[in-house]
Amino acid sequence: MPATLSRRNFFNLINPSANLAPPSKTKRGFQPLSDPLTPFVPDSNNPWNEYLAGHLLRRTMMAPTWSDIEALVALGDPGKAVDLLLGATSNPSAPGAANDQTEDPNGPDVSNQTLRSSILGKLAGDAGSLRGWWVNLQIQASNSIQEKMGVFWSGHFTTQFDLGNESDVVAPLLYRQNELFRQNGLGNFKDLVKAITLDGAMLIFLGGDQNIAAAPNENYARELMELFTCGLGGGYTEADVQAGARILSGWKSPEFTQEDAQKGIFVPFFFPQNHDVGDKTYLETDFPAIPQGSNSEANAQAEITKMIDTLFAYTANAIATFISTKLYKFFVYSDSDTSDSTEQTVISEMANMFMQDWEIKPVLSALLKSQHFFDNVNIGAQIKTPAEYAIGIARQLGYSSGSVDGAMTTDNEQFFQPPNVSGWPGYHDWLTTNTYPARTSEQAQTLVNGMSAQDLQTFYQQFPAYNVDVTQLATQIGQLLLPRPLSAARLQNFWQALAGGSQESAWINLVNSDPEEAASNLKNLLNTIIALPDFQLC
Amino acid sequence: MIRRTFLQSSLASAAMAPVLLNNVYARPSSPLKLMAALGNTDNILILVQLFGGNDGLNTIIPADDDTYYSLRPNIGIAKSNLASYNFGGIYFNPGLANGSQGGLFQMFKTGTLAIVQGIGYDTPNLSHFRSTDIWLSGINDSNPQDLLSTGWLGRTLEKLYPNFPSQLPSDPLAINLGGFSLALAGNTGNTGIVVDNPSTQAGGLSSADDALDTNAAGTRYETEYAFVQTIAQMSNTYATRVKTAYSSGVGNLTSKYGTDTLGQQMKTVAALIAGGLDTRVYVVGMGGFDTHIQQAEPDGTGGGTQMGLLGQLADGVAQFQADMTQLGSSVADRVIGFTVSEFGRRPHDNGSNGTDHGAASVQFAFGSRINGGIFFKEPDLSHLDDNGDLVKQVDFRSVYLTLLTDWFGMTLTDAQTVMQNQLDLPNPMGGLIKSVAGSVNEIPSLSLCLSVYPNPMQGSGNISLTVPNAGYSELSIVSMDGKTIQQLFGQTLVAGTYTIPFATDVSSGTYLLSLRSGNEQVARVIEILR
Repeated sequence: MPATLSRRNFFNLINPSANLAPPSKTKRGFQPLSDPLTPFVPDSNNPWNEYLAGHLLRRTMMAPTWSDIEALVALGDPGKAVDLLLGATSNPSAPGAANDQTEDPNGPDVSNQTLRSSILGKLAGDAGSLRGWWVNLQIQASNSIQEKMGVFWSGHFTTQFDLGNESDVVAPLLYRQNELFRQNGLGNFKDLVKAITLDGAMLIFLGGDQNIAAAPNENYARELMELFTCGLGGGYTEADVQAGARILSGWKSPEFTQEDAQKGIFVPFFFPQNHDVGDKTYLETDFPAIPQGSNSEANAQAEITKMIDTLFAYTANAIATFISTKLYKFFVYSDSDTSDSTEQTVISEMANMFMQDWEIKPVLSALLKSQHFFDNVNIGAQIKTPAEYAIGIARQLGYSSGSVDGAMTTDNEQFFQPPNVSGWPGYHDWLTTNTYPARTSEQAQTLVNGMSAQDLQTFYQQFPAYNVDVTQLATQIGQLLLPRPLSAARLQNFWQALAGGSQESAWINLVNSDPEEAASNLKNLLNTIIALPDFQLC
Repeated sequence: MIRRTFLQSSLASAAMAPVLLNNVYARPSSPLKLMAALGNTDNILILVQLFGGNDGLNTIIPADDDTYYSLRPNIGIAKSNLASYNFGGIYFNPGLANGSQGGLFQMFKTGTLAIVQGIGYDTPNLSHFRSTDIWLSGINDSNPQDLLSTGWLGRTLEKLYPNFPSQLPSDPLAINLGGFSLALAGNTGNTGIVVDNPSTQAGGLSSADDALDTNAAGTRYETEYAFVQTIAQMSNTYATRVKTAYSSGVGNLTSKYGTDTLGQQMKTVAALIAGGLDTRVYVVGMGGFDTHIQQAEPDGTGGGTQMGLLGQLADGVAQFQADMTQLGSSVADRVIGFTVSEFGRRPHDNGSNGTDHGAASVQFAFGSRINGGIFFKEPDLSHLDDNGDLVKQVDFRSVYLTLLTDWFGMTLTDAQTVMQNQLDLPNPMGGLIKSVAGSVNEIPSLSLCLSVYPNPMQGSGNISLTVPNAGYSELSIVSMDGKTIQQLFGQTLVAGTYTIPFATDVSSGTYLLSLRSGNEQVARVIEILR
């Protein structure tokens, strides 16, 4: 039987700007924005509270825990909260797979099927344990943007673990790339581009280690511009792609034990015979031929440094806008709209700031502290990524870390395995008639129904209001699990679910005299919440 | 330019004089008189996406052209290795013969496969993502500032079902196997649902439309909240239908599908069709065609990544076609498929036994209603574009327009509307689809067309051909090994459509009937039974 959908819903769905502009800021208590990156200063109309702290945490981490929210509220100020999130760094110890050396499954012993399958099994196992390690870091993270920045960069400077055809980028190389993002994810973008250009995993994924003078491989040279820096239309030509490939020729990335490894396994090195020493013109800049006897690693590296410097000078505007737009979509709203003037002003201000020195942290800091970031129009507007969803329920409801990787895979986001070099398409692609049922029935409902009375009691006892006031408790549960304040009707549904009826005092009685029943009522409430459309939003 | 004016002006110059063909007078008829929609309303199209840019030159190999071997010193496939994969001078990658049904090669020999050579678009874009968007949106627009947010099939379904989505049809209009494809995105949302494992298609939790907070009106949150609600509703509405159709259909399949992604997707589509699901468009796909590295072994066999992928494609499609055939013509005659890939690859191979991004390539159309054979000529390897890539012979949108009119029964005007009346919109390619009766193609075209009826035949039948421009034209019967056995005529024709009786005394077997006219070529597979 055909279901009827409101026309308006569909219209909203595809044409968001129709209902967005002009957002009436004054109505919601904000001053009209003269400078969209003006810091948000809380006042009595818009106090710094659990709901805004939760918003900041939802965007900068994989969903908040209640203690994260309380810690940020206690700082009393969004600026301090952002500084805390951006300032925290950690150096987690490496996973077991970080230095696991493996024979090449397609090497000389390729015909030994037993050996080959054991190698392939080990490669897949290492990748799995690396994923598990990273998932765990994110489950355990506290008030730090560090790991989420890693997710941002791994979706930007993409590298796939499984290259198809039973060939892989090994886990130790992926770990090194991951560590690069962890340590430099808020550093200098130009330096990051230089580092990723000679990153061992990237050299393999985009064919850099097969790019030789005799027949250049254009793959990385193209994506460096199209996907990693200035974007299509950034002002380069096909000839620049070809010249770039020649400049980048001659590097090797040893990942298996039998390979030539002049600087040790997992360390890329320069192989002069494969480098194109001829004269090149890249973005209208001359790269003179390398004289005989000067074809050294240092000179090849200098050539690449000059290439990246040239790219950043030649396409500075395009790079700054491209990356700022990407940051905006990741942290504010995925459906970037070129006709939304407020948004465009925000992005162009970010770009102006970014172009000064290519430092990432000040730009992100300004964005996260801005009135625009905390504007009512943007709160709860992101579709949760599978990572935000599955890691989020692990952080908030105790979903086992072992299940998170599987859930993410079902929901189409497996770490180290973006669908292609442009990364995950994201936004509406995350939620389909396939992943919606998986997220709700398979993952959240199974989890909630499997929670023991003890689990449920632990959950409600974390809220300070649990034995004080049932409406306050319902409000706090909403602040943890949903992106926006509860409407009056919702709040009433929520507390009545907890109280098991319309008597507010009934909840406290249950907590004191029948905690099993209290747990059961909480389970009903959680089952209501996970079915709400905005449980998919953050 | 308005197409109608163009049509009239180009025809005005073509005198409608009778000409002598094979000793029979034939009068060219005006394409305009025949311009009518077939009006099929329950036809099904399967779009097969080959992600990464499939290399056309190692798919259908120009093995008679020495230039091919000088451009492909590493991964060129030796002619000696193609002897068993040659039909009428058309050399197939050996992978295309893969599987128990003999793959696409066997389908070509039985006339259910059309090869479109030289397909692409002007000023090709070599970005995977932009070019994929161009192909799937059907809009040739390389300006990255222009967001290509709707797909040609999404717009088509919206045109055919104007009440979507305010009234959801009882069966999904379109199904995407795997993730969402831009091809199905419409102006009112995505016209398709995603199916992965149909036997466990689930609805997910449905929730009441409870009250939003008082500040929600006009926010981006409100927009996305509505989006989630829509997805939840579509999940619930269609889950049971898909599951039921699949379980009732899958038992009627007899083909042995591969375990690879495409094989399993083709099986799912076959089962849903067999189970009576009234879905008009299916989008399936496979990746891995971005073969910068190790596309093929440098030993002249072609073995390697691409051959493996083409093997999956060929087997998946051939197993599917075999199932359609055994389900009977009432099913088979409603289903065709067409492959798309964002670009072909550079004619000159690279040093990694692979190829870089290129331009024009080869695509396939398949099904019992497809006019089997080859469209357009072998690639001209001595006249590459400035970037060293193949120049297109036919715009992919010509094929789309043909599918919209001849397959979905749209008027040309509606089809052009769906294609957003782009200023550079080409004419429909025509000639790709046979009518239900299997007779000659009823939809004329402004490109070279050739149809034969009946087929198979006992040495005589009717040939219909359309010559878009006056010029010297040659019609020949070509044997499997590429030799011209009989020239049926060679003379100058005026533009128009001709229907002529035809008789030959060649022995029983399968042949190519090849028409060359001016700079164009088209060929049909014919089977002579005596």
